[in-house]
Amino acid sequence: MQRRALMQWMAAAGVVPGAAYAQTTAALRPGKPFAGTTVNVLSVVAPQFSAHEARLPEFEALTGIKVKYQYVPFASMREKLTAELVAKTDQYDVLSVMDVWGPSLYNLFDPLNDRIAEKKIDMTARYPFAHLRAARDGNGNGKNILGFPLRGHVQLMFYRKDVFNRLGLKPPETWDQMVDAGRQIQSKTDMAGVAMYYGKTSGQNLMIWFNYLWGMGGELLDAKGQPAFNSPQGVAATQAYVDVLLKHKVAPAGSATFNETDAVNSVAQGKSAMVPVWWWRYAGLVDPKTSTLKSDQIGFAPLPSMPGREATTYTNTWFYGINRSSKQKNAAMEFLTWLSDPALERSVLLDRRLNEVVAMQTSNLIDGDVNLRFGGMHLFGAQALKGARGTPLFAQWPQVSDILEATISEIVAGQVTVKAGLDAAAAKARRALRA
Amino acid sequence: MLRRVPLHVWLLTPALAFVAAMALFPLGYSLLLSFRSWKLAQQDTPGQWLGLDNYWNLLSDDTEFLDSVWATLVFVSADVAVTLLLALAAALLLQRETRMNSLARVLLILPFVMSPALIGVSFRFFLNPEFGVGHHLVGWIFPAMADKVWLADTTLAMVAVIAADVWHWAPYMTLVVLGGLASIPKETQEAARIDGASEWVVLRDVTLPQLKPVLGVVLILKTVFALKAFDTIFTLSNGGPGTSTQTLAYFVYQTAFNYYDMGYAAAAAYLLTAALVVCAFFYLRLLFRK
Amino acid sequence: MQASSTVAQSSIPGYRTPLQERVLQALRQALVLAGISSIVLPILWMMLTAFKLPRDVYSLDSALVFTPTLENLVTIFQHPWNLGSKALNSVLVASGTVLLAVPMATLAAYAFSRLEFRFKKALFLTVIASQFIPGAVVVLPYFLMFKELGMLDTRSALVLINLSIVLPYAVWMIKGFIDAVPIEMEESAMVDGAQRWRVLWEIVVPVALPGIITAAVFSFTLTWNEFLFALILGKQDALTLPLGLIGFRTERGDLWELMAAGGLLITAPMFLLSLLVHRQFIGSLTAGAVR
Repeated sequence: MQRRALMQWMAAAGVVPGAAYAQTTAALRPGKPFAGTTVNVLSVVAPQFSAHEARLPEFEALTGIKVKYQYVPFASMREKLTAELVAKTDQYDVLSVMDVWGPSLYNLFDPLNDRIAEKKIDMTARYPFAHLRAARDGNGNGKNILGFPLRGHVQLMFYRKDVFNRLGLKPPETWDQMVDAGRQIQSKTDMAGVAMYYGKTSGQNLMIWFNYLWGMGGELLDAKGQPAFNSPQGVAATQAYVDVLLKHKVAPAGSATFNETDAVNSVAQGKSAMVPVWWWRYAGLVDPKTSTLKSDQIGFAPLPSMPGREATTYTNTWFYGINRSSKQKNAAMEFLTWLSDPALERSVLLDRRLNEVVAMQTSNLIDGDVNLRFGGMHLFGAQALKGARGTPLFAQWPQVSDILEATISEIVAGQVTVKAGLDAAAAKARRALRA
Repeated sequence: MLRRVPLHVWLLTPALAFVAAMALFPLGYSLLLSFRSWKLAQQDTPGQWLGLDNYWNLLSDDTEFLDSVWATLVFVSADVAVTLLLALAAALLLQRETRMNSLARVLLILPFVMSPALIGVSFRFFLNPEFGVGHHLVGWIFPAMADKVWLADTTLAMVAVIAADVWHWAPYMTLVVLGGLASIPKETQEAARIDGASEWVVLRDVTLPQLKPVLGVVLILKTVFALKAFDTIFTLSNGGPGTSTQTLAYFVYQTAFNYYDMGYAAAAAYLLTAALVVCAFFYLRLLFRK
Repeated sequence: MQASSTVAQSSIPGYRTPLQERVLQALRQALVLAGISSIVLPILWMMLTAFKLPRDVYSLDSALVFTPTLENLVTIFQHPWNLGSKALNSVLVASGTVLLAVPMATLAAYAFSRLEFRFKKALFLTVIASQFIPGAVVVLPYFLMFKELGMLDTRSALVLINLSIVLPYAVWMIKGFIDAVPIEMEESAMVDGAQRWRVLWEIVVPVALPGIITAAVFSFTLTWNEFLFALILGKQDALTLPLGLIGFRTERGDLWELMAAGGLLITAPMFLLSLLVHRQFIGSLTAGAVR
């Protein structure tokens, strides 16, 4: 968007100008009552968390609490959390969990409702519903809040703005339009249309699939909690999803095994023209170290939807909570209060040294400076989050997720048809849900 | 008094006592666990006693388990056979004292010290259809393969996974067999040659029989590690496409750490162990025959 | 004259003409070269990747032609990766394990090989079978055990665990090599009045040395690459190299350029170690020939 058009649009959309970050607005306890304690945080390496870690000296100056980030590989966080759940050690005071890992791990946390009330934090005002839901017990419907959502994503469609302009194309608003655009691109350039990712990797090939499924009125489970994804709508949705490669052939051949990163790299290397993916991938697409593209070559739009339906997104959410077995719960709460301060998130977003787009809190999503910096991406995010549906939260979700992603991988590899594959998956899922 | 303690007790005690002390609790605990139900979603201590239910469920109607047994059989037999043959052939080749052989022997250790996860990732990158050097090299030599996406094809994915594990182990096994060859007294081979035997006959009738113990070690050692192989498969193909490269080790890991079903995972693990114990039992009868 | 000598020569089995010998030699060299390439090329490729920027990693065009950078090698030693301290921990844990494992295993292997006693087969099977179970299932009980002992996040705990992992294999392998030592050597020495211990130390060990070294290398490597236990039991003091390497598998995907740099960190010292051990190895190989 051109700057003036952007500003006009923001004014119309009700964007709120924010204050510069002078210091935290967090309600920390006065008088440094916990000075000298150490709080251990179990975390993965991500630019956002590194940015937080860099700001820790401020927290220590304010409270005297020393915070140590203990990193484990992203690929191993789940095992680590499982071990902690079983052994209940006090090695870590603050833990973080991703919703796609299933609510089984939520048993690690103490409910925070009382502590939150004491700090007078209004969680529903701060966080969009889709993100807050992931931090609740009772499969997202309980009344206990287990943590502060700290990292959450919406999906966007990234595309080659220069190529689209050159060919006179508009960013697609429906999935069919995406296929058409892809065809045009493939006939007029040597790039592939859209980089899809059907490879079996931690459920990544389900991230876009869910949009197809829900867009066509399909559901994962029915009202009785039994598999419903092999309904006629589910089959049609899955067929449309895999046909992008199999029938229309507007995706590169490698899409069959691509994971999310491969697909993003396909665009970053100039081999594909579009990719529907999490918004945080933006940084990697415009960084000269990781991409051959310049920032004015990359545009983004809301995710396409089914004709006649609102643009929506699938979300996923991480939250930070206090370990049930921790011996420093009060100090840990001080830390979480400071960490979840909207002003902190805003300062990370506006930090010119980083390209960090991840924002959880409503106030920052509609913030003027943030949107100016990122070309309105966060407003898209805010709107998409209104109708967003997040990860299904039930105990057997990890099994069902594995079954589904294996099935999609098999379908794309040509081992089974869509209907047969989904029916077999439903049978396996029924068995898993029985347990 | 001390002199009446048999020698074998002195020699064995350090190792055995240590293994017993360390392994007894974990093995016992997990064995007992396999007879119980423990899903972390529902409880954080082991749950009710199930008897043999976990085992029965695995064998009777868990298609994913049975598929993984099949994948394991394919993976292990191909992996072990190729490794053993390559190691034997390479060791025989590298026996002679030439400069090139010397260089080769020094390099043999390198693939083994690479982390299996690193090997899996690097093979995955080699075979990437867009920028993978391996993929393009193979496509250049065999044009028919140029369009095949390795990791989307069930057969090729299995080949890739086996190739990665062979790359990791075969050079090291070559070293082991070389060591075995070195322990064979040269007089036995010389005597045969003087009696007029050709090189082939010397190999078949003199060398190989004396190499049997070492080859036996290679065989069963590789079988054990092939059955436990996990990191390479996890990083290379993630068990895909579908579940075609999902072996038993992967199944156990997945059940424990992704599905948080600890009792069931323990049962699957002990089924794997039982199979291995049976193999080892037969192997030991051969080994201890004098 | 020539005709008759040809007839005489070709009647000797195993005789090859100089030409045949040269062809065979060339064939052997070609095979060895193929073997060396298959080992070296992937490793060289990885080393090349260590000097590339991420965008050059994901492109075939930049496979060989790219602007090299030392950034990766610097990054892996910085926060939050800290590969330097992880490598040090790996060296300490692996060395400690091997130093304890080799003597214990050699004694036990000798007993299993040479002595007769009750339950020998059963004991051997039990020792080996302790390693049949997949790690995923035993790691949590081990975690509970070490939590009770108050030894979480210590290198000693890792040494103990790795020792229990490698001992069965070491015993097994060394036994295989001791089996291959002819019993006559020991018997003749004992007839001369030597004690078991001396026989073991002065006769059996030197001949089985290639095997013992092999077992030592094996134990070292197994410990070096051990990942699961280090992950679960470590927090900040007992983190090892595999954790560093797998740490490069991030949300953003596999940071292959950093993994390659880490791989470089592993390979170079291992190559040197191999050179060292190799000289010992070669010594044993030729010594074995003389005996």
